[in-house]
Amino acid sequence: MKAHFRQSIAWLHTWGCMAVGWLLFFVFVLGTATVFHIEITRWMQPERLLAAPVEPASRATMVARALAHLETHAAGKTRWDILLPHERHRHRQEKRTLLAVGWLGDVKGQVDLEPSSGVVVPRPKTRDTEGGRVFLELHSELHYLGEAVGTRLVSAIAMLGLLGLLTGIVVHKKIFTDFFTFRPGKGQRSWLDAHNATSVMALPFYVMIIYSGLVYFDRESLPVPVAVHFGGDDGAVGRYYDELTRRPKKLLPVQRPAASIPAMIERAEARLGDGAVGLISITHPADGPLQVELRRPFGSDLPRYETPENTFRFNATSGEPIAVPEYGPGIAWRWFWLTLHDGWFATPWLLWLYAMCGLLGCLMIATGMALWVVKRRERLTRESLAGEFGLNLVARLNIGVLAGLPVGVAALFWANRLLPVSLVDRPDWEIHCLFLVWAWVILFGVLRPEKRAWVEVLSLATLAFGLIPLLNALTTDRHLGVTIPAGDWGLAGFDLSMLALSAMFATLAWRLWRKWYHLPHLFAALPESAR
Amino acid sequence: MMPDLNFGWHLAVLALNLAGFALLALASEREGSVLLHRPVTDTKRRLFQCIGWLSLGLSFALCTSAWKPGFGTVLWLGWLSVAAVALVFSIAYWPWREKMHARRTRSKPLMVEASNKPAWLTRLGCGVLVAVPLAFGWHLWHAEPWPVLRADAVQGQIGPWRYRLAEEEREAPEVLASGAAVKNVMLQLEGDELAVARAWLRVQPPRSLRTSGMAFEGNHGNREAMIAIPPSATAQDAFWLTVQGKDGQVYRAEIPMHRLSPATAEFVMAAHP
Repeated sequence: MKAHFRQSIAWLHTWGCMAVGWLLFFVFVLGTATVFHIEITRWMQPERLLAAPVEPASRATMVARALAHLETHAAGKTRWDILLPHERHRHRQEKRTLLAVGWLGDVKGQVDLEPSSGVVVPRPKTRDTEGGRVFLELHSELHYLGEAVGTRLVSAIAMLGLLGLLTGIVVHKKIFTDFFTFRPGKGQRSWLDAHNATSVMALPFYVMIIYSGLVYFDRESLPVPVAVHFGGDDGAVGRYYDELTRRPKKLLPVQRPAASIPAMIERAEARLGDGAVGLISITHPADGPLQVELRRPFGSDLPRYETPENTFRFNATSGEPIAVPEYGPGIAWRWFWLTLHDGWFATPWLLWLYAMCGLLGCLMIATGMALWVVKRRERLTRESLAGEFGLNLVARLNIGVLAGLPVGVAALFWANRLLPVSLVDRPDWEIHCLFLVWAWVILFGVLRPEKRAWVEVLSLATLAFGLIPLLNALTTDRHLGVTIPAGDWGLAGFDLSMLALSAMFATLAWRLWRKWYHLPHLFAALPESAR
Repeated sequence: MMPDLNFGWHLAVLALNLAGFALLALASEREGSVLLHRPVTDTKRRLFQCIGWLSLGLSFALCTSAWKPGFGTVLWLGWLSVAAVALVFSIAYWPWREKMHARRTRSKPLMVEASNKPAWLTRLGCGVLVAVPLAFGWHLWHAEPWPVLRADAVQGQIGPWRYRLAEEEREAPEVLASGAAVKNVMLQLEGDELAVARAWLRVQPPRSLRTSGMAFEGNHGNREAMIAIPPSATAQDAFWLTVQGKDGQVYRAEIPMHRLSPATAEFVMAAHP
């Protein structure tokens, strides 16, 4: 029974993962890129200003300037936001040094202000591009399929991925004895070791990221409860989220609060910690008084929903605190997982750890796909059988999909720099370039001899990434020569990461070239000592 | 909020994790005997395991106290992964693996790969590989820019702003089922965008602010309006652009019909010869 059970699970692992392996690889590669999507957006909009030092101002001054601007330009709106300059604003790099004000109502808007003078810092007109959000969208909904189909497809893929993880743990008999085992140069054995190593080493991360990804699309995957309670009409989902997030049914226009906001900030920071307040919102729910809400920068809490510990509401006229209700366990648990998935709370080192684990995930999937091919081939050579069509197809497509997708991603960055600025639908064309180049590389991998194709596609990836900093220098003035002296590590980090990825592909290409194309007759001419 | 501690703290966590895993590796049967060049005794193994787990526990304690428990756990797991991967691959590729040296001096035959695909399929594939980039390049060359950025867009000054006005399609107005002829026009205002309240466009001069015409929707360079061409319009009539600032000031500009949309001028002439 035991052997049969393990065999069944092994079968499930193999075929469950083979069915979605390439799509899961796509989601993981683009998901890893999403970790730094804010910095990527900045790089893809080189017209934006460099991170420049800004004269700091006291909180009271900044709040006064912000309120003055809002009164003049956002009168009658239903929500005012003041974003104090804070290191931990994850959404827009400029918010770390500049004061931002926003409003919602019949129109919504946001403007950056100089902290001490309140003068508007105009946002430069940037090229039409989605920026890093492209990765966010692609890894959660794929593309060309529409949101409804895409999110459900990605959920299905994620479920099979989770199944693959769990069956993999069951199948991996010697998970503890073989914890540190990696034996290179032994064909199938080495591939299995590599697959095991990359899978086990970041296992908690994979379970977290896939499960939390599924939680993101819980309503899409399990539509019946919402449909039963809220109906199937167009407004049903809106009503569901309104109830879930306790959105006030009606909002009245807001005015300047009479009470002192700096005093409220002091009271809040007694509990939150010095310098913690980043977000000040002024709203007027129809069933309550005008209120001021103080929070840490959005998303920097784990979990990120409002609790009495991290959110402070005050009556805008009297300055008295208003109670913040607790959320129920269901919604709290849901938001805990979403916060873990997004990782907005992460300081830079933890963000890099997220990216490293994502990269390990991509390697896990890639080694798994390669392992399947190698294992099948070794069995066929052992039993002297002819090659199968399915095996050859997977082997060929592996080249284009696994090594080709990075080339496609690099093509996206190339397109961002090279496509004409006045092109209609430019953001869509950047994404078309990713898929066109990827499809081209897949076709290339199918047509060339297999081993040559691996080396060539990996070399192409090396060049595609390695030349990006040079392309950047030739087309913009946000290249390494400018960003490093200015200390703008967000932009410089992007170019340096491209170089690092290029180095990784170069190593892979070189190792494969040496392994398959070692030219003995050249070396035979040299004396023994020189070899 | 997650405390942003300097790299020294992270390094300490990584070091403790590496130490812990290294000791556990030494204690494991297979790798331990390879690394130490002799089989591990039971007492030594228990000692290594003990200190190894202690080291990992210490790093967990460090993480949860320096960063808060929630953040600390996530961070600890992250550095664990890095430490584990680093260790696994260093053990595998460490110089004491003598077998690697022996392998390198062995020569291998040059790989010659036979292709078992039919020649016509290969040629077709190569054809597609060449054709796709060419097609893309051709399409890009002939791609239409944004209407307001076209060379034939009307540029001028209206009040404190510069404007660019262009018809979305260089065609005659579309005649709707109701019989009305409409045209989509796009407007971009450069200057102090925030000071613009609203913009309107119409054929024939507006008599008051209320009759300024169709309002432009959208903002920030993407203003678009669908304006009706009245049946009484002639080719001598002009388009009138009205922009009102947030300070209440109203500005107007006149654009000859044939300048903004020659196709509309022709359409109107055909209606009123």
